[in-house]
Amino acid sequence: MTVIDRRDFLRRTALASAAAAAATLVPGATFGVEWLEAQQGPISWKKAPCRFCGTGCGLLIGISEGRAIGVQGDPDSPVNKGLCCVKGYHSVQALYGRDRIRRAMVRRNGRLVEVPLSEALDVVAERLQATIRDHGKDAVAMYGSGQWTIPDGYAALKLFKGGIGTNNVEANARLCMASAVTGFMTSFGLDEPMGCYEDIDHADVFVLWGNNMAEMHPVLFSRILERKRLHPDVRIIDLATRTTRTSYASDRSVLFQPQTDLALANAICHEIIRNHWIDDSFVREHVSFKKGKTDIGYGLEERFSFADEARDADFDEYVEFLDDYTSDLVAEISGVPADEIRYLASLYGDPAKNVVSFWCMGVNQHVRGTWMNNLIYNIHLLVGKISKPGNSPFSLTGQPSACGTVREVGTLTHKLPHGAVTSEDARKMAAEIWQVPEDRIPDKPTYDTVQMFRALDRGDIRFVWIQVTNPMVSLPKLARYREGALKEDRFVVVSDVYPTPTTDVADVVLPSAMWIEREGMFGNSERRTQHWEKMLEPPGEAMSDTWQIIEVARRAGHAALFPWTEENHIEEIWREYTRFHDEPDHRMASYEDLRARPGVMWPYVNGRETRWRYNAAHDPVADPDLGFDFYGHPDHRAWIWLRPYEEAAEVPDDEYPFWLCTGRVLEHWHTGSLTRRIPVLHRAMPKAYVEIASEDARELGIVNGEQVRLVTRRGSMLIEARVDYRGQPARGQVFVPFFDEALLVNDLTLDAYCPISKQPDYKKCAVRVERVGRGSS
Amino acid sequence: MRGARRARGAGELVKGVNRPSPAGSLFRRVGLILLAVLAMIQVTVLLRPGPEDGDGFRTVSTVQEPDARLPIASELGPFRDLFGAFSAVPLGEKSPHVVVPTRADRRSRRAFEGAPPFIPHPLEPETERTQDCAPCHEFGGYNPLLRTYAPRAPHPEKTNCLQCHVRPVTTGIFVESDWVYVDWPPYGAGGVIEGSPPTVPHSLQMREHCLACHGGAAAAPDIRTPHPERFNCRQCHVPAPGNDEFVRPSPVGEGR
Repeated sequence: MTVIDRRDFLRRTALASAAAAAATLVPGATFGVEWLEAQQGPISWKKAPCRFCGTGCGLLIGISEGRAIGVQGDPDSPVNKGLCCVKGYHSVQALYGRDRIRRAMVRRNGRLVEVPLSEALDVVAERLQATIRDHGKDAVAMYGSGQWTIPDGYAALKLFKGGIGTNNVEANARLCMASAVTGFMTSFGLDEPMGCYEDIDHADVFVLWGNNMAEMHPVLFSRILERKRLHPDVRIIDLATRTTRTSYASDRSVLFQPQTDLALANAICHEIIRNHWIDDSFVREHVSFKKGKTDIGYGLEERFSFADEARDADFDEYVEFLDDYTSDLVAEISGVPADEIRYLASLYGDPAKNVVSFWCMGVNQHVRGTWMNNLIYNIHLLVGKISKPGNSPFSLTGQPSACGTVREVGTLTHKLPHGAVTSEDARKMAAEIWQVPEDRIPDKPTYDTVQMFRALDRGDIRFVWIQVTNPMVSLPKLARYREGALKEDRFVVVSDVYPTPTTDVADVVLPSAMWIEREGMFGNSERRTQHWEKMLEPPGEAMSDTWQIIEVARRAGHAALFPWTEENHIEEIWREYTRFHDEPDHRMASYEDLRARPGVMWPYVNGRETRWRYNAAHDPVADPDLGFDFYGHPDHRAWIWLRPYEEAAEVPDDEYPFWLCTGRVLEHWHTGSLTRRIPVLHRAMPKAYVEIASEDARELGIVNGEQVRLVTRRGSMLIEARVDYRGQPARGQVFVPFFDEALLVNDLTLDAYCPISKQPDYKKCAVRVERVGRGSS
Repeated sequence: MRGARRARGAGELVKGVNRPSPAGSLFRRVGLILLAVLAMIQVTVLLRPGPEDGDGFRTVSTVQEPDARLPIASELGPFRDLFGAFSAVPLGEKSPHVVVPTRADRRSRRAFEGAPPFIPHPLEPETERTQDCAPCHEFGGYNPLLRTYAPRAPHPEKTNCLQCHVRPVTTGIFVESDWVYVDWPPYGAGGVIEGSPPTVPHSLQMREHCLACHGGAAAAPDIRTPHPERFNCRQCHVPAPGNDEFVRPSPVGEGR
C-alpha cells in the first residue's frame, strides 16, 4: 500500500506543478489537480470477452498502471450491448485473490514444494516420456475445459494427437454440453446452433426447457425481458422441475417430474400433428425420419460402450410412435396437466408466432441428453420454426469457450479440428496441416471423461495433465475418482491460478497466466469468436496454458510441431488452425478482423457473418433452390428422431425417497475457484445449501437454516436447509449447488450418463433427507 | 452532514411540546418524571439499531418518520416524472427527513467506480425469487420500514435486478484480495474554465438518467445538483474531454 501511496503522492505533486504552470499561461482558466487527472486519462479500456459463462459478453477492461481497475459492458458488443451480470462486472477481481499460484510446485516427500518453473516443466516432460516408454502412449492423457482459450486447446490437441499419437484428450465440456453436440450431429449432421442471439429480438414466445436463465444466463434473460417490455404480447414459458427466479419472471411456470421432459416433448409433437399444426411442405421437403436403438443403458458398467445406429423410418411410423404420448397419458407420467401440454403445443403450432426454445444443463446433463436435444429439434422441425429470425431451437453453453475450443478445435477423444478421428479424410487433413505421418493419429477414440478417470483409477492411465478446470469438485461420484487420482504411480499435473481440490491431488502444479494476462480467443454459444490482447503481466512465474504446453512439447521431442515465438504464437496458431475450417460452412474471421472487432460469428464468408445457417436467404452455403438446406446430412435434410421416454438411472424409492438435483447459482461460476475470490460474490453466496420444498420440510420437521443430512448410495453430507428461499423445489425433490469445495455434493451424485454423448446426469439421483435432531446419530 | 444536523432537530420538537409546567411542586415532579421518561424514549429511539446494524455496513444517521405537514410531496417531483409537475425545492435543503448518504457509503457499496452497488438492506426471502424491487426503486421515495430514502434506479426498465445487485449475507471473505480501489473518476472534476458547468466524468452506460443519482433525497450531497428543475442536463454538462487535441488540417494551398 505504501508504494502506491508514495507513487500517488509523487504524481499529484507533479500534476500540481503542471497545473500551476498551465495557470500562468492561460489567464482566467483554472486547472485543478483533479481536472488534470481527469484529462490525463490514466485508464485505458480494452475489449475482452467475459471470463465466465458461454454467453460471451463483451467487456471493456479498465487498465491503469499495470492493474485492472474496473469493468464496463462493451456497448459495441452485439452479445450484451453494454450490459453485464454481477460476475462479469467483478470478473477482474478474480485476478487478485491473495493465494494466486505464482510459482511452480512439485510434490516431494508428500508435500508440494516451490521450484523454478523451468524445473517443473522438466519434471513434467520427463515423466510424460517415461510413462509413454513404460506403459504406452495411451497411458498419458490431457484433460482441459471450455475455459481453455482456442490456442490452448489447439496446442493440447496437436501435441497429444499429432505429436504423441494418442486420442486421450478430453475436456470438462464433456460434463457440460456433450449431449448438445450429439444432438446437433444426429439431427443436423453439423455441430452448433443454426440461429443466434438476435433471434431473441424477433421472437414472440420463449420456451425455457429446464433452464434457470435468470440466474445462469442473466444477460440473455434480460434481453428476453427487454423484448417483452417492448412487446407485451411476448410470452415466456418456464418448463422446469423447480420454481426459480426464472419462473417468477415468466408468464407461465410449468413443473414436470424429473426425466419426463422426454414424454412431454413427444406429447407436444403428438398434439401438433393431431391439430394439423404441422408445416406440411417444410416437413415434406426438408425432413427425414430416423429411429435409433432403445433401452440403451446408463454407462454405469466399468467398460461400458455403446454405438447408436440410425435406421430409416417414415412419417406414418412416427405418428404411430407418438400414439404412446397423448396429452392424457403424458399428464399422468409428467404431472403436467393435459391442458397445459395442449397450450404448449398451441404456442409452438401457431403459425403467427415465432418461437425460441432455450436449454442448457437441464437437457444436456440427462441420461437421455442426446434424445432430449433431438426431441426439441423435432418440435421445431414439425412446425418449420427453425433457421429463421425469431424461430430457433437454441442450445446454450456454460463455459466461455465450450464451443470455440472444445467443439470447434475438437479437444475430445473422438475429434479433430475438422471431423472425427474415425474419418480417414479428417486424419489426412490433420496430418497434412500438422506435417506428421498419417498413421500418427489413431483412428479409434479412447476414453470419454468419465471413462478417462475410471482408467486413471484402474491404472490404464498413469499420467494426466489437467488444465484450467477442477474435476475434483466437478466429477460425479467424486470419491472414487479422487481416490483413483491419489493412487501410487499416478502422476497428476495441474495448471491453475488458485489452489483447488484438484491441485491438492497434484504431483506438479504449474502457475497459469489467467485470461487477460495473456492473449487469446474464446468462442461463445452463438458461434462468435472473440479475441483479446494481453493487458497485464501475470504474477510471479505464471505462464499461459498454451505456452506451458509448447514448453513441455519442446522438452519432450515435439519442438517441430510448435515452431513459433512467444510473441507470434497466438497469431500463428490462429492462422494454422483456421486452415481446418477453410470451407464456407465454417470459415472463420482473420486474425486482423478478430483484433479489430468485438467478435465475429462464423461461417464468416466474404466479410459477412452467417446469422441463420441452413436458410438460403442468409447462408451462402445453402442451396437457393431448396430454400432450406440441411447440408450437414448427405440427404440435405434435418432428421426427426423417434426417441421414447425411458426412466432415469436411479429413481427415488422407499430408502432414498427424494430426487437430488445439482446446479449453479447466479453468484458462482462452475466450481467457484474464481468467483469465491471476488469479495462481493462470496459475501452474497458464502456456502452451499440444500433447498427443500416447504411441505416436505414441514413433514420432516426441518426448519429453514437447520443442518440436515443428505444420504445417497455413494455418500452423505451435512448441509444447511433452505426452505422457500431463492428456489423452491417441487415436493419430493431437493436442490444443492455444487460450487462449494467444502460441501462436495458430487460425493453424492451418480456417474450415470447418456450412452450416446457420455455426458453424466447431475440432475437426477435418489437421496434421503435426514433431520439432524438432538439424539439422532 | 447537513442532514445529520437536521435529524438531530427531532429532539427539539418533542421538548417544545412537553415543556414542564412551572406551577406547583406536584406538577414539577410529574413534569420531571415525564421529562425523564421522554429522555428514555428518546434514547431508545435514537439508539435503536438500524436495519443494517450487525451487517458491518455503515448505518446512516437516525431519521424521523415523514411528517404529513412537511412538504414531502415536493420531493416526489423529480421522482415522479421528468416531464410532470416539477418541484424546484433543492432536495435535502428543506426537508429534515433526509438520510444523507456519504461518499464513503457510496464507495463502500462498490468494488470500483462504476461497479453495480450491492444491496445494503435485507431482502425478504421472496424477493430473492420475485425480484420485486420496483415498488421502492422505480421512482424512489421514502421507505418507512427501512427509515430511509430509496434511491431511484437509473435504469428502471431493467427488471432482472439481482443479476447485477446482490445482497451480502456475511462480511467474511473466502480468501483475502489484493484488489485496489482506484478513485476514478475524481470527485469534483470541475469545469474547464472557472464557473463553467462541470463535465460528466463517468460513463453514461446504465446511468443515462442523471437525476436518479444527482437529485432526490437519496443523492449524496457532494454530487447533488443545486438545480434539479433543469432536467435537460446534458445541454450544459458534456462528457469529460478526452486527450485528443484539435489540430487544424493543413490550410488549403499550403506548400504551393
